[in-house]
Amino acid sequence: MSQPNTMREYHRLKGLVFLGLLAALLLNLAGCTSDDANTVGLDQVETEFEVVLEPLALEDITHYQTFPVKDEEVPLAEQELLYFGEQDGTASSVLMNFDFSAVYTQDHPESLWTAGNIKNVRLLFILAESYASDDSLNAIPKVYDLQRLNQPFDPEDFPGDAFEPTGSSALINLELVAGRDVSLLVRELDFLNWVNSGVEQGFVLEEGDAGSLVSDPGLVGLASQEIDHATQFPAETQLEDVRIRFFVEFEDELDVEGVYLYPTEDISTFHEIQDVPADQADGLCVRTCLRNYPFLAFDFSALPTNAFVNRAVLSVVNDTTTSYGALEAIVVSEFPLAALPAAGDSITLDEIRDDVYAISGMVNLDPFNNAVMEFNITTAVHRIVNGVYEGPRGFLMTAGEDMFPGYDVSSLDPDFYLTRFNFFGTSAADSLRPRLKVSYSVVEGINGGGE
Amino acid sequence: MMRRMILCPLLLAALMMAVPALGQTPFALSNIGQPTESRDARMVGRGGWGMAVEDSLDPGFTNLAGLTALRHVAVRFTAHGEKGNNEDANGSRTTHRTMIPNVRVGLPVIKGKLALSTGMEVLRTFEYRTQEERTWYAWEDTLSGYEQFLREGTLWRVPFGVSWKPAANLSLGASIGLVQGSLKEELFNYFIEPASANGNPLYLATGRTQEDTFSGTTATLALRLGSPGGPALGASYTPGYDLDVDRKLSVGGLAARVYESYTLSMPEKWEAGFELPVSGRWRFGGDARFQPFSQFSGYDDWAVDMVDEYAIGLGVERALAFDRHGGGNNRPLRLGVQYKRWAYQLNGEDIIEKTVSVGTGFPFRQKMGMLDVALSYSRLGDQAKNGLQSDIFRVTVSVAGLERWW
Repeated sequence: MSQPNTMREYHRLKGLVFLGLLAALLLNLAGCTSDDANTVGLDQVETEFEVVLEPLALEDITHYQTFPVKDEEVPLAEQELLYFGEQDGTASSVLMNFDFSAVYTQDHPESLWTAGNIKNVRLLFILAESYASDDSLNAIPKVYDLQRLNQPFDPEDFPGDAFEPTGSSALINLELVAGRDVSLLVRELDFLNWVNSGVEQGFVLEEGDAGSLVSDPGLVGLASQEIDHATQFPAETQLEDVRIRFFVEFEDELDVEGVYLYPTEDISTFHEIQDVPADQADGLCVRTCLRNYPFLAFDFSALPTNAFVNRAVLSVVNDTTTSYGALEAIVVSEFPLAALPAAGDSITLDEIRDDVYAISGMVNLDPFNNAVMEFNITTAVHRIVNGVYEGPRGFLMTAGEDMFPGYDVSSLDPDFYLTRFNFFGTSAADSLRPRLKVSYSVVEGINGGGE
Repeated sequence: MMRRMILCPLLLAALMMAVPALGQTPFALSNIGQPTESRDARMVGRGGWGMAVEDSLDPGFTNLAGLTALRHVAVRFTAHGEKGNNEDANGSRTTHRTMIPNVRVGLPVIKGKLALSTGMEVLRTFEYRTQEERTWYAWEDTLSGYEQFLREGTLWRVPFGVSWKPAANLSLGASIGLVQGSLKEELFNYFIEPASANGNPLYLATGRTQEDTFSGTTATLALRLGSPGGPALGASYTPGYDLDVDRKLSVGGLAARVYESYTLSMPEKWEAGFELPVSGRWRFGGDARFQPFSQFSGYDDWAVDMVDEYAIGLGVERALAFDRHGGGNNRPLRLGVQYKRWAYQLNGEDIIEKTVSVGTGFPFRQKMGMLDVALSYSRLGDQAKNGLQSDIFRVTVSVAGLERWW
């Protein structure tokens, strides 16, 4: 290589090294991440809002309404659980219609159905695990009585008391039964009369009068013919065994299998239903099974115009001494006043679904233990403050219906368990009243001057 | 070719990496913002001197009258990366940022006689963020989080210029420019705790955003006197102009907005400079800029703290040479100092920026452009007077590409 070429190469390399260093320096200055922002420079700027996190309690309810809600897909006669007993003003018996026209079969011919051949007849049922009592290990002791009705019941008549028992018990003994797996001995002759009649007969399972033996108060639940959730019964139970039914056992020497007779229809009477408060002063009630949901709209006039709401919670306090039932979700939704039913009317789930907008909710709430409940409804209050909607809106409290997939975490729909959350009303002590707890900030220049 | 293959990706990478790392001096938090050094690296390296420049190889766009020497279509862009060490009574913070303050294009219409130019230059910038940990109380909750103030935006100009050389030692220039820009100021209270199980804060952040959008037009007249290689003078005058401002005030989560409009009356600007041959390839020069912001009006919050802004820069340069086998001796060398007073006071005291700089350059083959580099250090403000001080280390890189190169 000649000398000039060597010198040229030397200069070229030197330039290259310089450019590389330059680029590295530029990368260093440009690419480094600045220190996190801190208080340097803070003295130069005004960093205070006019009002920050001002607390405001809104307690004036401008519209309150409570109304029954019907599930057209699951009428009362198709509910999975039957209710028996009395609790806080709600009382229910169990009605059953049995069809005796098809009792005789090839394996069990008419000649078999005699008093001599029948060993015993039992009415069998099992109490649901989560609704036997608040102590899931033991059922509420009950005196059960079974009576025939003067005529089969009509499901359309219920809830109500449109049934007429004959007045005589069809059970051999009226006794206090404490177990969850219930087996009641039925008078054989009465049973044979029903079989021989060859027609449909109605029956009522109701609380019996056994002198000094008295049922403990409380509702219990037992499986209807529509039961689809065996998990609510003892784990060892097979689904087909949990339904209420007659069992006819024949004498051993006949070597004939026993016969189960299942009702063609069954229903809870709910002949007494505890009222839900009609006045906000007396309380709010969220009730499942016999759905009843409250709606309430608050007066926001105390909130400054164009205040920014940092947080708004609907605070309600559950009266754990009067509430009862199974774990349930509660959902708070926006709902337009215009979509409410007329006073005293009911509404269907489909009608709610059309207009409801879920905001907040909580799942697995225990009516016996969860007292203070706070639902974050900040976004809804933003919409109200911003005048997003044309008509007035309020808040609808419901259970975890299918229309709220985020809160419908249980496989059981709210028609399954009768659960009642009794929330204190506006006449309760200050710390117990329903209220909106708002925290807001006011920004200078926007407050009251928005367009 | 190899140099370009290495350098260009590195420069691009540097610029791209800088985007999320913006940070400026906290002096930019107030008033009309930081006057941006939009001069190219050649001028920065010698203290900002550039009003008297006339150069066909490395054209300067500071004085439009100096563009008449263009013989090729010229494209110049300038980028700089900087590191700032900022201190006040509350502590210290190191910031980094890059920006491209200047992209210009020159088009010779009659070589040596008439040229047109356009481009973009940043006039002022606003970019800084403060953050302070705070505790609040609401109902029964104790909230922890931080309060953040963010200021960002730029004021920039798109000039359309014409340069004309009516006589051998006289060049004239004129431009009309669109001045545009925006300034956003955000104040947020972030309430981090308490939070829900999934980590979302229970209390929504309060955020106030004020956005100003600027628009106006400006004109500049320029003059250059001097012969090639001899003493030269340059001057320009930009009359005062109005900037229309549309302001929008909003709060996140609120539909309400407040709109208002006002007009800023921007003061005139005078610039002048000279260059003198000293010995051999060495030249001495200086520039001065004066803009009487004490006459600014239209926004009282700013006007009350405003003073006249001026800058004086002096420097020397060993000119580029093309001696055969000259090696490093052919490289240009530049040294300069600059003294600048900002347009507003802080803490009742002037904001003074003092800068020393060095620089050099690399010609492209066949004299089809230059790559210039400047390193500078600036002391901005005085903690004793302003309560705040910034030390800024900056690398400025300019590339001037002539027609065949690009």
